[in-house]
Amino acid sequence: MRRDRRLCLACGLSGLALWPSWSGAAEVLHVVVHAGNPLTVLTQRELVALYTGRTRAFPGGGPARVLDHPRDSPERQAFYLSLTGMDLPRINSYWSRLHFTGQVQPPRTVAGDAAMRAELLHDPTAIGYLTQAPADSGLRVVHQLRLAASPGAQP
Amino acid sequence: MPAFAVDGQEAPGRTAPVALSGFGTLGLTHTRAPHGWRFARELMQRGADGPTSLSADSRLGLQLDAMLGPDWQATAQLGLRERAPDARAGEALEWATLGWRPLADLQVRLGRTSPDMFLYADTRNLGLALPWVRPPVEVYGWMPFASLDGADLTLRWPGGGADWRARLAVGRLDSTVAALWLDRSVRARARDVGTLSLTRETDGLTLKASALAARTWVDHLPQTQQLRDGLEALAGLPAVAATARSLIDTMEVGGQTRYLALGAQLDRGRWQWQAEWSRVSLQQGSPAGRRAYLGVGHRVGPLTVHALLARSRPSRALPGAPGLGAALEPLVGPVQAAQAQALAEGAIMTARLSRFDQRTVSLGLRWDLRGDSALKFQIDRVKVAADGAGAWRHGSPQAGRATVGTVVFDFTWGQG
Repeated sequence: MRRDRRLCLACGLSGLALWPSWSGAAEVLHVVVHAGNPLTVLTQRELVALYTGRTRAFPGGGPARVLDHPRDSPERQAFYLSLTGMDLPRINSYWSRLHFTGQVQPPRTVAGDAAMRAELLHDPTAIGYLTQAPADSGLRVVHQLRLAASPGAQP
Repeated sequence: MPAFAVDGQEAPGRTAPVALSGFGTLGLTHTRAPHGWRFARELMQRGADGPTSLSADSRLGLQLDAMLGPDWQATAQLGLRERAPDARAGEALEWATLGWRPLADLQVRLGRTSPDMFLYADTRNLGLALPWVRPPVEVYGWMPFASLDGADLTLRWPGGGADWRARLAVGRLDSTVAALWLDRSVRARARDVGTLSLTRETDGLTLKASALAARTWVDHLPQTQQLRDGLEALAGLPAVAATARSLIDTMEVGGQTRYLALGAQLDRGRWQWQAEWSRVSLQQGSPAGRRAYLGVGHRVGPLTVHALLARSRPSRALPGAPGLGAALEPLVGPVQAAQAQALAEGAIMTARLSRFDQRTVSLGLRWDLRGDSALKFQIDRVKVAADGAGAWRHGSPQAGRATVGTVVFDFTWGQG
């Protein structure tokens, strides 16, 4: 009985935080670079290194300009949860740590797939992620990230 | 380095050339401790202004980043928080660096940074990045310096399925430290400072080793300078020279300093673990010792419950007051012998008040809110050994127990 009460309290407080939820129909996110980038594939570990600020270079050594969706967007929530297992508060806290060391700036944010595609098409050093597979011949998918369940559904 | 095919068009957007961001903590502590003791989280602050205080944990940081080109960046960070009495205004400038990246994963910085000596060295004032309301006082609170003026070099590389980072820094350290038993300040300095840290990160596991070597010293208050001058005079008398020298070594802080630290953080699924161990070796003084903590947290949605066990133990035993009076009385007479004995007891008392010998058990709750903010609650039960209250302001040589209850609201803004 006491255990049930504790669980109810935790669930109630969870609900108060109003997590953003991924409502897209897609089951994967497409990690994309410019077609002029010699990179053909990225492993999940290499992708984690780029999106957690541990490196600013592609595996071949070329400089990488990392693009992200807006800070509290459902796309970003789904991306980091699937990639790193971290939900938005944790990843925001993580990036705060890097930003306020003055060493690593968070990725530049771009709102929506259309704007992300435009950025990627114009910058051969850029990497970003889209909710829909790109039809443009000027872009190349280097990783397909399967979406994880939302934080509330974590085992 | 691969050659990229540039299409010759300007990208539709660029990172803003200048960006202002900030962070802060509003913290309220309530302390129950032996009469007169004041809680402080670090040596560079005056300490709580009463049993209930906003001053110990509250802080505000403002950061200005300027992108000066694709490979150049300037950063300045201003930290507003309670400091020692007589702290210089310039100490509020926590960071002021000019950084250059000759390669994507190699950075050189000139200017003011934080000495990279702890697992959370860069972010010990950034509440949102910490699981607790503050870094453990036993491990972080002894350090009398916050900023390194000099240069550092950071290299990152992948290897063995992990990401590595090495940072080498050289420079000097200066700060104003609160006197432990008077509302006064002294200057702490370090020269010929060299630090080296190595970090390995993979799958939520971070391992870090840090080392520092420096020549350090702490200026004297007028009272302790008188003591030191008197002991120097006694050291000129062959009969008690060795004893007087030993007493000077007991009350002085500094000389050749060596520091070694190992840290680990595991953050997987709902569990997070943190541990650090460090050893400070000083040519002279009571801050020499071993320090460690172990923390564990469990997340349920936006809530994290955590527990922490921290310990600080001096490496030098406290010498008993020597019988200088008896040794000197046949040589200089009873009055001067009594004065010499008082000097010896004063030196021992100085050392007794500055030793840092305590352990803390903490329980806390962190609630992550939307909008880059968090609310935290924490209770610390502190057990201070006799002659071990060096972490407290206006402490006394007696052993004591204290309880510190804290609630903080952490926030950040302006990070894009």
